[in-house]
Amino acid sequence: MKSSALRPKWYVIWGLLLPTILLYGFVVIIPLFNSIRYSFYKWMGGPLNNFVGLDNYSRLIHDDEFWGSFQHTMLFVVLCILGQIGIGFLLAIFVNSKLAKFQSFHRISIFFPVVVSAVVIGFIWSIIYNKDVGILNWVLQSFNLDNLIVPWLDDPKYVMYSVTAPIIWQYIGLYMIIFLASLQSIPQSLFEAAEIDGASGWKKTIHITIPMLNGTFLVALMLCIAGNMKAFDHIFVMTGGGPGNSSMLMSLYAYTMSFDRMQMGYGSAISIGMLVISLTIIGLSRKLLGGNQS
Amino acid sequence: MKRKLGILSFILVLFVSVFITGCSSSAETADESNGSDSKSGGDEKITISFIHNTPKAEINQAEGKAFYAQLEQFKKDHPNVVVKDEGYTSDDYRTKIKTLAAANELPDVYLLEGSFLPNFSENGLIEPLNDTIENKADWTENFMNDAFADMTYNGNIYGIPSDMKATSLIFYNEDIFKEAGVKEFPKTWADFKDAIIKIKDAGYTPIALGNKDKWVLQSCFLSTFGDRFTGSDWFYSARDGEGAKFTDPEFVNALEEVKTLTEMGAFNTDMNSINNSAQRTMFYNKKAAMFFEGAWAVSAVVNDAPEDVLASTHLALLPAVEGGNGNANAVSGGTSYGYTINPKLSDEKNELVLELIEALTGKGYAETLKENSGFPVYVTEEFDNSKLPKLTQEYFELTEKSNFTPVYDMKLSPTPVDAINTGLQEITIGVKTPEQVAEEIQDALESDQ
Amino acid sequence: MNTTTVVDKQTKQTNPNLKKVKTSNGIKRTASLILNVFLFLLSATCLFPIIWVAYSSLKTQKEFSLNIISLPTQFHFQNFIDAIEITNMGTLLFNSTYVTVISVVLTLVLGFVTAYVLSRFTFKGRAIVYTLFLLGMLIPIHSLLIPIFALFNSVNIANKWYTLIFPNVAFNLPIVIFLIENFIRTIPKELEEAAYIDGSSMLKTMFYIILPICKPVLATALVLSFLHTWNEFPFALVLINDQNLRTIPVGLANFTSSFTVNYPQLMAALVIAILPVVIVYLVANKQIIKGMAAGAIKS
Repeated sequence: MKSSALRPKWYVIWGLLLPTILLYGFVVIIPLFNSIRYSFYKWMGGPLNNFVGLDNYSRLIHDDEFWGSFQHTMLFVVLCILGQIGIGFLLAIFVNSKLAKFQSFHRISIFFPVVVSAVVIGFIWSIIYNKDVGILNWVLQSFNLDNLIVPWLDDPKYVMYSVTAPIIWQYIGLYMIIFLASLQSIPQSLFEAAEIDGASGWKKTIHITIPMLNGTFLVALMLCIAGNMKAFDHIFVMTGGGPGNSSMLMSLYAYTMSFDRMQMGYGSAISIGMLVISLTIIGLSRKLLGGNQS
Repeated sequence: MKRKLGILSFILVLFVSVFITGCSSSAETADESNGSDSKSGGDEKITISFIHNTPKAEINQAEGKAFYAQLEQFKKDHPNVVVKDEGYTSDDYRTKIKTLAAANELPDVYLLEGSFLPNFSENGLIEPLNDTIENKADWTENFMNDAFADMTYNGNIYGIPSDMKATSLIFYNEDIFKEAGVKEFPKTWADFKDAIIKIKDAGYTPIALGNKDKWVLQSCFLSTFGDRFTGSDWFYSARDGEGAKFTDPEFVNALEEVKTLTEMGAFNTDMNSINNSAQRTMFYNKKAAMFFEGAWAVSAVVNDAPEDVLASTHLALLPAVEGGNGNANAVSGGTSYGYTINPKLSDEKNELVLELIEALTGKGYAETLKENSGFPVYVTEEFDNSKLPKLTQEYFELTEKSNFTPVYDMKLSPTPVDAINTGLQEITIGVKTPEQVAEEIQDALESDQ
Repeated sequence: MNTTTVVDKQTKQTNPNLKKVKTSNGIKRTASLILNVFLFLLSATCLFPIIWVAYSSLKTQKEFSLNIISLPTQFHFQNFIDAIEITNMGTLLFNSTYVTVISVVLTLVLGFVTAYVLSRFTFKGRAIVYTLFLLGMLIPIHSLLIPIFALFNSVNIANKWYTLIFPNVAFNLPIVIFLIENFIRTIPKELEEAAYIDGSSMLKTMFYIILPICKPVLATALVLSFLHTWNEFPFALVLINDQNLRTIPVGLANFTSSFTVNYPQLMAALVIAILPVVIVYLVANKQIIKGMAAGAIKS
């Protein structure tokens, strides 16, 4: 059937979109274009600026520290995908299992860290990691595992893992809840049929659960990549990118350049570079995982 | 269901309309109600916008006490003036001031670090205060010698400081030194390293270091230690590109010693994940024999250290370095921040702002600050030092005989400063050699010019 | 109303009929034991750090350094009293509350309308609009601090009571649109077609038929944008000068960093920072979790 309501006129569509686009354009898009403009200048803040064309970008391409921070960011995002989505998914299966007791208690407590702000989580974990007053070392000592104690935030070999753990820890609950909900939306009859055919728990998971959750995985993956590519607060509080640059992420590097070194032109170029990289990654993962999405 | 939706949409419409009218009406009345800009309202009240780095939470510390006492007094004395002051901690303060500078929206009066003078003056954000300082001689002539050195760029003075402090002192616990068999504080660098080994063998951390925020090792150690090797002339020559370079062997040797100290285990293993207040905590708990910090830590130690620790705490300067070019009595120090006036102000307002700055740096401020073991720029002749805590008196004795040498993060611009700070952390974790770091500092310096 | 069937379907599936094939009882019992012990340990790791911070904040510095894990012997409330007095907590709380409420409501309204249009209609420029919103999820916020501040200043809307609403709504919108759009696409179009045959207008269909179905995803969006707005720091720092307009995160930042000498004091400041959200969570955790869950799934 052809109704004017199903295929509204262009001005109806744009009229509905207008308030959002105006607000969003004003707060996000115009400043974004300004930021792109800055990236073509040598600008130290203040009225003076010097048009340098693509100089900042060619510097970016040859900047080892930027690519170092890129590697850290990639490692970080992959760890977060594995940790947040992987552990979140497993936990959802565990909590959803008929064997698990006190399900709602687990749901409430595992989701709890999600509501706390990133800055506070950063502070709490820097105390947890503290050599003298931290509970992590206290726990290890109580179990006589002193040999596992390392300088968590001081050793460049471990620091990336140490700063990633709190972020994974904080958001496992979010992904667990998402998966839990979609697990419960899988028609029970599918499992019953499989059980009659003699399928074991793991077989059911692999052949029924995972395929049924395809869409959820994609949403979770998008949320996870988008959220973690620009992660900043936790690490800013815990190490500020240090020691040296060993936990420097791209977002922190852009901030350091703009606000510590006052190289605002180059800082903007880093942010734009980062945005391009993030868009590419999101685009690629959408193509690879869900070609049918818009 | 329909009724619910009706209510919902009513609330939405209400919100949106409140929002819209709110926007338009307050835009119109902005000048009357919210005079944060330089306009004065109908009843002749003058508003001064003032951003500073002394948040209210620091009201019980030496500087905070003196600062807020004077600020309140100024407000009382000037009922026709509204001082809109905002305090932030140093990190937030920097972000805030840099954003304001970038948008050319700086407040009427604020504090500026010496290292930003070149940038701000070239951008025309600040104007010289030389004449003002001369005209206000009855106030400024009481300042210490060299009080304006850190606020001077190209021969012009741009800011008025309030405090003058050494940035790299050694606070040491005499009892621990004795227990470890070190009878007196070492006079030479070689003896100092021997002492470190002895202290370590006695089961203490020789030096508590909290370098998480990256500036501590640079400002509270390397600024003086580097000078022992290079001398101050070398520093200015390197900074201004007049021959000396940070890759010169004398500076690299200083960095090399940082590496040696780390490898000797002179520092705690978590030095890069705790901050400077945590290094003091280690010292208070008698876990560490000493720590490096500036004069600001004197009042902190006096107030916070347990009595027995305070009794055995003494101050020292870094020992002499064999074959170094620097003065072995010198210590890095200066004023770090100075009050800066926005050049856009009207004459009338300018005068008021100067009065405010005088209140925050002059006699009254200096007296309160001194009573609380602070170190004002303003010299108060009649003040009786003997009433001060012992440690504070020790500081005065120590600095009387010495002169101040440049602090790197006050005299260099932000890019090389960040290169030094990050480089020092990289040396302590062993990912870069002193030579590599020296090269990066030199590159950063050159790229900035 | 025919829409309820969709909602019913979901709730029914959360109550599965518990028929199962019997396996060996012994294995099952051990498996159950291991699983439950593991889950309890995990729940404990999620709760304990925050509980630890909470009770440690009531200790004195001395007590804390003697034994970091023990409970306080007596309650030491001074840290809290200091924090509340110095930060002017009442004003902070009021500002955070109204900024959050208005921002969240606006985000939901704008987000819903936009998501509906984007998911239901194909039109020229749709892909561009969609990509622009996607972009918003990826922009590092700090890179926009200076341009946004400059822009707000030039049109004189910085440092006003409504200033923070703009960036909060704008930066909440992308994820909210993304979630709602995904959700609406799973709703069969037949519903609307039937409504149109009955003579319902587009707006009516959108608000009376689609909106109620979207309740779960709106709840998710509400939770996420509430948390984000409540905790937002960088814009609140840069765009607001007036002490009387400050929000909680900025007000407490001063407090947290000048208190690092003393761990219990620092912890007290942290507790104050999270207390309002924790209370909301303790009261409404069922709704929050349900809302979170219902909206994010996509069958």
